[in-house]
Amino acid sequence: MSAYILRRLIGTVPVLIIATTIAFFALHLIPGDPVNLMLAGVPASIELRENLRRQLGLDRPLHLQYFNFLARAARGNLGVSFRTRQPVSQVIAQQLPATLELAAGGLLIGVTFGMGMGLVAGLRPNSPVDSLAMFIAIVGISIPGYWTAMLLIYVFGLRLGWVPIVGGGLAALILPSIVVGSFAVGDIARLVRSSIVEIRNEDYIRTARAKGLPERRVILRHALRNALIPVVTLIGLQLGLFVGGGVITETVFARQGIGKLLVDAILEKDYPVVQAIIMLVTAAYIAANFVVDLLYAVLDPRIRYS
Amino acid sequence: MKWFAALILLAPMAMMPGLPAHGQPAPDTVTWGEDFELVLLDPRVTQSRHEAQVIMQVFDALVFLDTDGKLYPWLAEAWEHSKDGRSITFKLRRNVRFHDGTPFNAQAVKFTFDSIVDPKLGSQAAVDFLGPYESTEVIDPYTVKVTWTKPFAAALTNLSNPWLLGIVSPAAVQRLGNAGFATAPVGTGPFKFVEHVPRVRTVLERNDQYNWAPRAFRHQGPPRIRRLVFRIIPDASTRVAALERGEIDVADQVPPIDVRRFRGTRDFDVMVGDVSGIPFSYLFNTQRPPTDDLRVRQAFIHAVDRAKITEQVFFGVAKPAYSAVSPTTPGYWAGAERLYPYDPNKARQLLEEAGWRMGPGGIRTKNGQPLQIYFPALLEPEVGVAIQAAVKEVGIKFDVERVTKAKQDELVMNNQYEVGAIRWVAVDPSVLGIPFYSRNIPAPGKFKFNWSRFSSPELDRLILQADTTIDPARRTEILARLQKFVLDRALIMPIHISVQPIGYRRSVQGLKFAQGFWQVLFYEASVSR
Repeated sequence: MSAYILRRLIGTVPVLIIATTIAFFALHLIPGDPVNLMLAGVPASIELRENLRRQLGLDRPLHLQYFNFLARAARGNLGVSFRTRQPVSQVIAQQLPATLELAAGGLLIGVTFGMGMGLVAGLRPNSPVDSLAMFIAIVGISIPGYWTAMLLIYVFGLRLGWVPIVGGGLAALILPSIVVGSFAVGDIARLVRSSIVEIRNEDYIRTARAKGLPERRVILRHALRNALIPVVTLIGLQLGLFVGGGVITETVFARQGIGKLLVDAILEKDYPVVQAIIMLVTAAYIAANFVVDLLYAVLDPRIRYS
Repeated sequence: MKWFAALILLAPMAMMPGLPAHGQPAPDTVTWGEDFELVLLDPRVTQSRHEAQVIMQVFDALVFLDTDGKLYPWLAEAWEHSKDGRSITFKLRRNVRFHDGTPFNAQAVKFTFDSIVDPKLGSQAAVDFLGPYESTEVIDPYTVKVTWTKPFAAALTNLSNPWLLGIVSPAAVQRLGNAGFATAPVGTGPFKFVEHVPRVRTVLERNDQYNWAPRAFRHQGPPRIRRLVFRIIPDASTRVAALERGEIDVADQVPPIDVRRFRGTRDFDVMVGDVSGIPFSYLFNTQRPPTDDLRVRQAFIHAVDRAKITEQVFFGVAKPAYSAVSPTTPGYWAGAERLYPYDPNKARQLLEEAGWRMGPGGIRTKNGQPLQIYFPALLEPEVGVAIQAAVKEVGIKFDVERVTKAKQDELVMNNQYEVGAIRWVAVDPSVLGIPFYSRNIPAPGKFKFNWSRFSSPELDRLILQADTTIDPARRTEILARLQKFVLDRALIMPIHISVQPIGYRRSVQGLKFAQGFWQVLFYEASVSR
């Protein structure tokens, strides 16, 4: 098992290098000079612009910039953000907790509501409960996050006053988690439902009932556990999405987060920040998939890694 | 079974009861909802008028320029121009201390200006505002002489700007380094820096020692409020909702539709700043057909009803613009308002004279070419679309394409556009040199702002005169000629004055626009709850 883990860990290194290399050159391919973008509409003089370019090392040839980046990154130094002039590691560390909070909140909402609805629907396929649950699932997937966010702010923040709109604390996490989670709710609910529908007529379910197990145990230990494998895969994929894709939620709810940091950094061509986040998100995906693979073995004893 | 499903569905609700009560705002705190991220709070380094909002509360400048154009003593008690117009000698106020307790003196002024021109600092705007700076000489601990390489008409206006040329604490810069100082600034201003949480908030606190406010304020002594919080809320709807809910007290950049809604309500009001500087304007490229023809440019301007479009797009919150600087800018030339009245028939006549005949689809043609004008729209595409409909009436096909900043810059540098849009907040009319000096014509790899690409020794001479004439009356006269020159040649079509609508709770009083009508000064603010 430990040999397996080690192999997987070593395997991540080339993936990280490839991902950041693609990001580096893709970013240089799109037009736009980082200094001009950073200065936005400011009518700064050409001398000022050239001084900044020298200071940021942008006057050096592209391949040198790339090797400098690789050499620094290998030593764990991610460089300094063009925009904030702070070490990139610090810039990201400031934003990461908010992203993890939101990912956890979204996951909690997505998994509890998604599994709950999928289970209820799957146990009574084609009943009114099933139709209702699947309707909610479709709505969750199709409504744009921006709209959901505005609606939630209006209803629960402004009209009812139940939660703060931009305040801090756990209460301020509820609405953003619903927005991020609503996507996952739909996906998970539909997947759980179809798994359950498939499994509920399996022989081992009938056997479990026949040997007189309480219904709760039949569903939890026998049906749900077997239905979980595809669900765990889906959640693993969505975890990466939570880390990188919270930009709209972060903007509307005025939250910190990696998503908005990344989008701003791309628009301003803040290369060091973009590269570091690409590395981070890539690593998050790899880690999530790895955990999912390990979970397979827990859920299904027939799966073994060696 | 049923209870189990219900439990799963209700589990997240368990989070609800333990909520912390979201507190009512403290009685002597004012919270500002800011639409942009705040990063660099060092006046010497910043280029952002959003960061300026914070910086202006923390730093003082040598002189204070009020919105009515009057100059007041501030950190300098008196000043005098040298005979050649190249230097100004400032007598500094005594007994002023920085927030770190170190004294303000001539050495601090010299340190601030010298560090701005040091390339190592990487100044993003202040270095341009310092103009043709030569040196600062410490004559005695409370007298400094600032010298430029040539007479610099904008000197006092620029030196009055605390968000660019505010005086920094040399001791704090040395202790924190330039990068550290930018996130923990130390000045002499009415508010002290307390805390900066990137992308969330910046907190300031009253400077209890403050007793050197300019006489432009009726209030003197320390500020009335104890705390000032800047909360970053990028989304306009969220910002407005947070204002209505009472989570913030003041919101910047309130959308025009909400301005209309707030006005005349019991709890809220809006103050709208008519921003100084260059209004939102189009520059016509004179180096590419068809806008290389003066008659086409003039026809375009006559075809647009600027008053009507501004009313429609901004619900009456903004005013139409007619000159290359806005009316709140010193040296504004009101004669511009009569130059190009809305007159579609005049526009048609000019196009006929230029040889453009009505062709298929209501678009004019000449030698088989349609009358097509390309506008890469980064700023205010909605105004572009309104203008597109207006000029179509006289047979001009105005192609408005939404582009990113990167794409716009590329097109500008490579001369691949007929119209470009600009707008700048500026307190001094010397800003006119930026789009009109011939040395500012863009070239591949050189991003500059003379997007009309018009080059004339006469125009360069006028700008230089305006930049170097110290006498205000004489300067105003030159500025009027300068504005008439660029409008007669239709290099620019001013469209509307930029506005800064500030929404606030009526419980907050004493908000005052800073010079330029973009930032708000909180020095006199008070709050009744």
